[in-house]
Amino acid sequence: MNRNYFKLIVLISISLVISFCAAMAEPVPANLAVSPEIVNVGTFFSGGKLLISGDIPSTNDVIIEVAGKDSKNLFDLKGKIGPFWMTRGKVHIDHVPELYILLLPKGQGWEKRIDGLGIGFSRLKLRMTTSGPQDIPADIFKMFIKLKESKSLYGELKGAITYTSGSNDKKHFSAVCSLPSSIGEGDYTIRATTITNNEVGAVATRKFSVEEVGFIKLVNHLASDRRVLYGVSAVIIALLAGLIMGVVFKQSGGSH
Amino acid sequence: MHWNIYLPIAHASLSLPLVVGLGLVVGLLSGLFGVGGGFLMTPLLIMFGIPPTVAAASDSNQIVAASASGCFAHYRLGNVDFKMGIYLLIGGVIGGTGGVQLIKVLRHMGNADFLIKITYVLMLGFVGGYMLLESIQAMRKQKTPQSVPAQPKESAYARMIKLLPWQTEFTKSGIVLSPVVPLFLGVLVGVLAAIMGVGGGFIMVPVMVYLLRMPMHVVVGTSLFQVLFTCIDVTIMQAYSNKTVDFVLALLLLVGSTIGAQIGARLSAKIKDDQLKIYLAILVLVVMVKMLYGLVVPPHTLLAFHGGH
Repeated sequence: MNRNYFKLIVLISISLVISFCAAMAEPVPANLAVSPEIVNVGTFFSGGKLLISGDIPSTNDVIIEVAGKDSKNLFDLKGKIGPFWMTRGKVHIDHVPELYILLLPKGQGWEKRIDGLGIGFSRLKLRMTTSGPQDIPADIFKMFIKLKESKSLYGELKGAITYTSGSNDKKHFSAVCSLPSSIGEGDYTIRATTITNNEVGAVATRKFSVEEVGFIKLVNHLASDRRVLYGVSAVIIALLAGLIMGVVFKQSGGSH
Repeated sequence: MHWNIYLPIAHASLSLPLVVGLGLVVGLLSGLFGVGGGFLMTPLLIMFGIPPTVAAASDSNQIVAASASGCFAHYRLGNVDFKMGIYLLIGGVIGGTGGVQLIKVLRHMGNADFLIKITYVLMLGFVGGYMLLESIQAMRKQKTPQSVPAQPKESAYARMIKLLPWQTEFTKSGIVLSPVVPLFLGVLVGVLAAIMGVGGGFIMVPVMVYLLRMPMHVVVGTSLFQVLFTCIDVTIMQAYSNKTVDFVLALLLLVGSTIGAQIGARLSAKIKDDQLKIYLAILVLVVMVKMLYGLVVPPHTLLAFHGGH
C-alpha cells in the first residue's frame, strides 16, 4: 500500500516537473486582453480602435493577428475591352479571412522574419484557394491583397506593438489596432504568438465582436428583410421632408 | 463627438459637413442656373467613394423630396398638365422598372458600375457641351446685330408626329399629339432615372419645349409631376430589387441642397448669367473628363468586389 502511494507521489512529481519545463519552454502570452470586446457600429461610427495588451517573458517577442472568419468571396476580374476597363469574368477566392491585420513589434527585419515563421500574408497565400470559369491570373494573391489593403481590411503594421518593463522577468506589450469603417458584423479573433529565438512559441487567443446597434441596425434590418416597407418608408420620409423644407423656405420650384 | 456619419447601406463613413456641403453646392448650382442637380450629384458622390449603384439609387430618393414641394406649388398654381403627365408617367414607370432590372442583371454580370459611369460620361458630355455652345452663342449674339428671322417652315419631325395614330388633344397644353410620343419619352427618361439616379428634368424640359411644343408655364410643373412619380417608382424598385437606397444619405443631401437652392436663387438675380453658365458647363465637362479618365486608365488592381461594393 505504502509502495503504491510512493509510486503515485513520484508520478505526480514527474508530471509537475514536465509541466513546469513545458511552461518554461513555451511561455504563453499571459493576461491577453482586448478592449472593447464588442465594437458597436452606430450612427457616428467611423471605424473602431482596439486596445490589445498582455505579458510575455522579457526575452521574447510577440506578434498579434486580428482576423475575421473565413468566407466565400466572389470577385470581378477586370480586363480591357476596347478603350475601357470592364469586368471580364468572375473568380471565387476562398479560405481567406474577411479581415486580416498583422501587428508587429518595433525593430528591423520583421517582414523577412514573419515569412520564415509562416505568419502573415505568406500563410494566407498557402491557405487560399481559387476557382473560376476562366484562366486565373498568376498574381491573383497580390491583386487580392492590394484590393483588401485599399479598403483597410488587410494590413501588416510594423512597429505597432510597444513594450514596457514588467515584473518577474516579464514585459508588458500593448498595441492599438484601427478597424476600418467598412468592417462587417460578426466575430473576430485576436491571436498573440510568442516568438522565441526566431521560432514560433505558444499562442493565446481572444475574441471580440462587431455589432450594428440602434438606428443603423434598424435601417439594415428593414432594408434587408422588409424591402418594400423600407422603400415605401424612404419615399414617405422624403415626401414629408421635401414638403416641410418647401414650407420652411416657401419655395416655388424644385430641383430635379 | 465625431463629425463623421455612418451610411448604413453604402457601408461607409463620410464626413457629415462633406455630405451636407455636397448637397449645398449642387443645390446652389441648381438655384443659380435653374437646372436640376441630379446629373451632378451622383457623379460627385461616386468621386467621394460611394458605390455607383448606391449613389444613383439614393439620389433618386433625394429627388423625391426635392421635387415634391415644387410639384405641389405648381399644382396649386394650375401649372400641371395631368393628362400629359400621366402618359409620361406610365412610360416613366415602365422605363424605370425596366432600368432597375437592367441594373440587377448588370450587377450580377459585374458591369453595373461601368454602365452608370459610361452613361454619365455621355450625358455630361452632351449637357456640358450643349451649355457651353449655347452660352458662347448667346454672348456672340449680344455683340452682333440681330438678323431678320426666316419664315417658319413645317419640319420633317412635325410632319412625322402628325402621322402617328390616336391623335389626342391635351387641353391644358393646347396641343394635339399622339400619346405614343409622351409614352416613348417617358420610357426613355425612366430608364435614365434608374441608371443615373436623375429625375430627367434636364432632358424632359427641352423635350417638352422643342419636341412636344408645350407652353413654358406648364412645362416645369408637368416635368416635376413626372419626375416625382418616376423617382418614387425607381426608389421603391431599387430598394426592393437591389437594396441600394441609403435614405440617410438622401436626407442629408436634401438638407444641403434645399438650403443651397435658396441661396442660389437669391444670388442668380444679382449675377451675370452667361459667364456663369460657361463656368457651370466647364465644371460639368471636368466631372465628365474625370469619370472618363477613370474608365480608360488601368485600375490600381484588376480585382474588384463583385456587385460594385
